[in-house]
Amino acid sequence: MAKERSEVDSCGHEHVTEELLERLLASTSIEGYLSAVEPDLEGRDLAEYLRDLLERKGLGRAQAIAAAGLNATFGYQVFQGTRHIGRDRALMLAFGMGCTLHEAQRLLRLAGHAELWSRRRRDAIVIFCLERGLSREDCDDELYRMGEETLLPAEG
Amino acid sequence: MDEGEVLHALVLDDAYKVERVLSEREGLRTELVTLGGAGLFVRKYFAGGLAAPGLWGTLLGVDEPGLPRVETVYRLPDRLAVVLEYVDGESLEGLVTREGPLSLPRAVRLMDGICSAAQALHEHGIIHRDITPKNVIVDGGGCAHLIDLGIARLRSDEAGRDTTLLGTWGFAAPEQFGFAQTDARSDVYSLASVLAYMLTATWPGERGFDPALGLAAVPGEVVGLIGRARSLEPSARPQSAAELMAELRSCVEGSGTAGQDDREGPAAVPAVELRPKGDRSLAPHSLHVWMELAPTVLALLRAPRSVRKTVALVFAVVLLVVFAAGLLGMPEQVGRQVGIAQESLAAISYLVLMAWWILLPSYELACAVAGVGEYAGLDRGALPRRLLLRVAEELFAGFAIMLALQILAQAAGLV
Repeated sequence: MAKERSEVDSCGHEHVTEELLERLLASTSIEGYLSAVEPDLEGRDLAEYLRDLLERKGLGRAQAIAAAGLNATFGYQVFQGTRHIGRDRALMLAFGMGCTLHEAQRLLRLAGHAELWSRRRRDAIVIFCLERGLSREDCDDELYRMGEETLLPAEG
Repeated sequence: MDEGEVLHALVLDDAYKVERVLSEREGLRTELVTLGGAGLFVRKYFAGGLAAPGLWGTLLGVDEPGLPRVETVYRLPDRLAVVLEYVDGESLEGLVTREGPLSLPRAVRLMDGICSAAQALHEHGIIHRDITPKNVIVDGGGCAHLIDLGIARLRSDEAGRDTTLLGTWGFAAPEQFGFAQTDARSDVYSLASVLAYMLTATWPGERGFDPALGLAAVPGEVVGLIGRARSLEPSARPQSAAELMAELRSCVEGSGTAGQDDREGPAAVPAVELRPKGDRSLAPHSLHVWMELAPTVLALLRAPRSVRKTVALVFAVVLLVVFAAGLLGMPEQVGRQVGIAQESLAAISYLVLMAWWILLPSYELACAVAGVGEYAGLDRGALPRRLLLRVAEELFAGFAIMLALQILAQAAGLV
């Protein structure tokens, strides 16, 4: 079975779901497993996760919002947790923060959206750009070039 | 706010690293933050309605030893952020809890600092509204600092009721709980409460407070000053923090206890007096209200028997309750309790007076409609005129008597 491995990030904390499953199956007690993997458990809300990401990557909110191309006040409210964010905008934010694929997937999940699915043409392009560390503008260029809807809604 | 403003504010906001959240209540969050190597600061967030950028803007650049320096103020889409100097020291509450009642000279020294800080605020048009032992910090050098302008407001702000956070029970002046506009004199009330707390280590409003104040080795004039500064009626108090401090100093110097260590024994003046020397506040204040009662009494006399009997009964019961409550205190404190009873009576009298002046026209109108008493036998056309005359007559008589009594009292030097 091919194991997916996330890139080792600065804290080495982020464990992949498959890895966690292995650990759970190998544990002798539930409590032991739960306490050991506390930081990885789902239960954090989006705002908290975003703050976490920012800290890990050493980014400021202004930087992330500007790079994402989001409206400043909207971005602020998303980081506060007082505003819901749509799927495309969440992807823009993922690019703005320089997320890895796994970080972006988690971000989407916490925002209440479907994860990126490589079977879907548009998602595949986004995954490709994300993994290559391209910017949000570059990704939109690619999407546009391939005839797909861009992340940033086109003015019209 | 436009794009650029928001981004700018976010850069500023993220520049501070949050060390600890000091407190969080509705609309107001206080954090301890650091800024690179620039040191420790306190950052306060004021949400929506509580934000008062004018107030903080006024404080920027004010350099007063007893007030925390305002480093910066910036706006976020949903709140206002203020970064203040961090004042290191112990709260007055902690100090008094630890050491017990403070000596008079020390209390006076601390009051000097607190009053200067309050006076500086007032001169900038700001009323603190939450001067309590928790919000006074005593630094390593023994100097007092006034902090936490959480519910302060600019004097010019909305007239009438202050609807936001109310203040600390026991220290906040009565008008802060909605009866009237608050101003510098409300802070004077709180300052006096803090002084009393320093001298007795008892929370004002607690049962043991008044006895403690009487027993403390404190000159009668100071006790009297505290009582006066904590009057229900703002005009009876010292009119500014500076005035309070000046009076305090003269009380202390006058009784010769300045610099005296209280461990040497009680002050020369007995700690307990029925009517402290030099305190004339209680008598004139209540007299003023008794005079306003006169028209009420007059109106009552002209009221039908049943109404008279009921009102008189209610009043008598209230009087009895108030005085009984007063007399149940320790015998030596009767004088002070009478003073308090008078104050309560004053408040009740105001209420009764207001009620009567609202009920009177209604009563007359009812009589007019029913065609009884003065209105019997009149035809419909003459009723309104008679009604107006009657009401005007009653109100005028009341005012006239009140005015006459005021003039007499002033002439006699009683007010």
